[in-house]
Amino acid sequence: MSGLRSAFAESVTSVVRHPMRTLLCALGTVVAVGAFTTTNGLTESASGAVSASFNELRATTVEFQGPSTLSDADVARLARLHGVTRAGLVWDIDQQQPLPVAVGPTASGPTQTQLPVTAMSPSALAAVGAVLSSGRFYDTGADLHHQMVVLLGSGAASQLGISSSLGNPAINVSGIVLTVVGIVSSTQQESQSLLGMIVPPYVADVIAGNHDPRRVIARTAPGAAQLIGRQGPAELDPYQPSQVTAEVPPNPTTQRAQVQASLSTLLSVLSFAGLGIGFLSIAAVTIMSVAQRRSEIGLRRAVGYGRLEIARLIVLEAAGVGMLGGIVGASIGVLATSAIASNNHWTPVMNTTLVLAAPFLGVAVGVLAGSYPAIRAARITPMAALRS
Amino acid sequence: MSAAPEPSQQDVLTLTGVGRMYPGSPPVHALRDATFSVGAGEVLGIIGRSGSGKSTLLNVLGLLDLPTSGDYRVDGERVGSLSDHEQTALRARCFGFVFQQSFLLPSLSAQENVELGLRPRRVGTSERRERAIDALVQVGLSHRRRFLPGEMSGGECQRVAIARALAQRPRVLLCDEPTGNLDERTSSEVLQTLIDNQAPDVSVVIVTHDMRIARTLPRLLSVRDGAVSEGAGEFLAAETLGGGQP
Repeated sequence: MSGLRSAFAESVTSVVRHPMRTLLCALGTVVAVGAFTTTNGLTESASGAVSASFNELRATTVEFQGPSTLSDADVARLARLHGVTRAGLVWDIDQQQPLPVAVGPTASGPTQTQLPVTAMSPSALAAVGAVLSSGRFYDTGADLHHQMVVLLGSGAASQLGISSSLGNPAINVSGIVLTVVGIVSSTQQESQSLLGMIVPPYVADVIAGNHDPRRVIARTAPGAAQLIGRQGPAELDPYQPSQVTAEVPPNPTTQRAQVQASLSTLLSVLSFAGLGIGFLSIAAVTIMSVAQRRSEIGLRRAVGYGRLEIARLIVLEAAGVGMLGGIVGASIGVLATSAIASNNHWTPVMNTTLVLAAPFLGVAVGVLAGSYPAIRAARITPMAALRS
Repeated sequence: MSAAPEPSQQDVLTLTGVGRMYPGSPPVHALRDATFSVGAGEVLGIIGRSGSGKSTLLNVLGLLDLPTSGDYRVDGERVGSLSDHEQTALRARCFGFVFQQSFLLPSLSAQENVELGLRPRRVGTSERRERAIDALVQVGLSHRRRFLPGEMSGGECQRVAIARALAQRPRVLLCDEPTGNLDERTSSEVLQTLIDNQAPDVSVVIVTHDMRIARTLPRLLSVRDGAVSEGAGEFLAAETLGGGQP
């Protein structure tokens, strides 16, 4: 036991008294353990960030596309499904081809331009998460009473020079006079509608005459999107449910697992490559060191060090260097992870067990890498070493 | 030296027909039929020209090299029958070495270098320190115990090497050209240190090519082409025999 303690003390002295050799030897382990810790930390942090980036709205929105015209009655059946909070019809008029628009009741008003028109049922406005900057939304009553109303997207309002719906300004769309009841400042879905006009179904019918809604946007309770995506087609078209396509958000759990799996693979590859570099670095520097220390080894053998003691000394030195490299590497890894995570606005997440185990990983690499040079050192005969 | 010596209880080293042959084409007989003994407390000089085999003889005596023929006993123990581990233990127990080069480890202080020789003997930390300081006092270098080899002169380094050997308290002190790298004045100082600090029961074997040193030693063996003979022989009148390495 005292022999081991003495060898340990000697190896510590050797590591401390030869800073350049220690630095060169430890460099590989620093890189290896640093890469290992960093990749692991980034995996954990990125996984957390992936979860956070799953926008709640995106995760709770399902979009259906029917093979033929869908009606309010179809949407009402869908809305009755447990888990659906809002649903509405959305369709583009003339495939988003812009229509001539003029400010004022006549087509020759002061400001003339062309704007796309999106039709949305009143419930669809809530489903897409529309937010007003001015005025009010149109409702089911307005549609039933054939009110000629329109909502302007903020981009369109700006283009037309209308900053507020106060006083209900009129616009002329393809010769039809519409009353602006509100200005939509943002939507969480269908954001392209902000560049044009949003009209209720009746107005869409009057303007374009092609009332052919086939798209339904549904908002669901958190976690229900996948289920609604499966059940919805049968509600919208009970006769041909397979013809209804449902675009559901990716399952966060599955996606997170996929991201983690791919990052874990990356981690494994980088870690093993790094550890390999560390292993080779320690082995190479230790072999060189043994060659340079032949006379020292010869002297030790002459004064009574056995082969085992020489080998133990070399292995302990390599283990010490590995531990040092592990500590420095893990520290660099933690700092690098924090810096990268912070730069990407992620919450840094580290596996503390792994960070604490890193020095021991360095020791393991050191012991393995130092074994071969140690065997070579133990084979050196004192006479040959002293003669050299 | 064909007559086998009668092993006496006082003899520490006994060689009977010992030879060392290095294989090759042709094989080299570096040592032939060496037969002599070294008593406890005896001071012995080995002289010979460069390449004569005197260092080989010293290496064989110190178990740094093994004889290929003959019988060699240390303290009555037959060396040929020992395992590598046992030879190492015997070497650690019985021999102290002073080489032509001091072989001090440059990263260790004088005291730590002296302590190095005590580590394989499992000497405790405090005793190790005491013995190292005592040995440095003996060679007059206690004030330099914290100095690194690079901060000391060649003579001082060699005295530290002597202290390292003395601290081990060996049965036999083997010195291979201990003053070979030093100037005349420093050589005599180092040699004096060596002789003055010899404990009465410690045998000292000094390999040298310097006849001025050799003449001061009470017993001489001369080596010529690997053959060992008692006395200075033909070298008696020479000043120096040239070269330190075999």
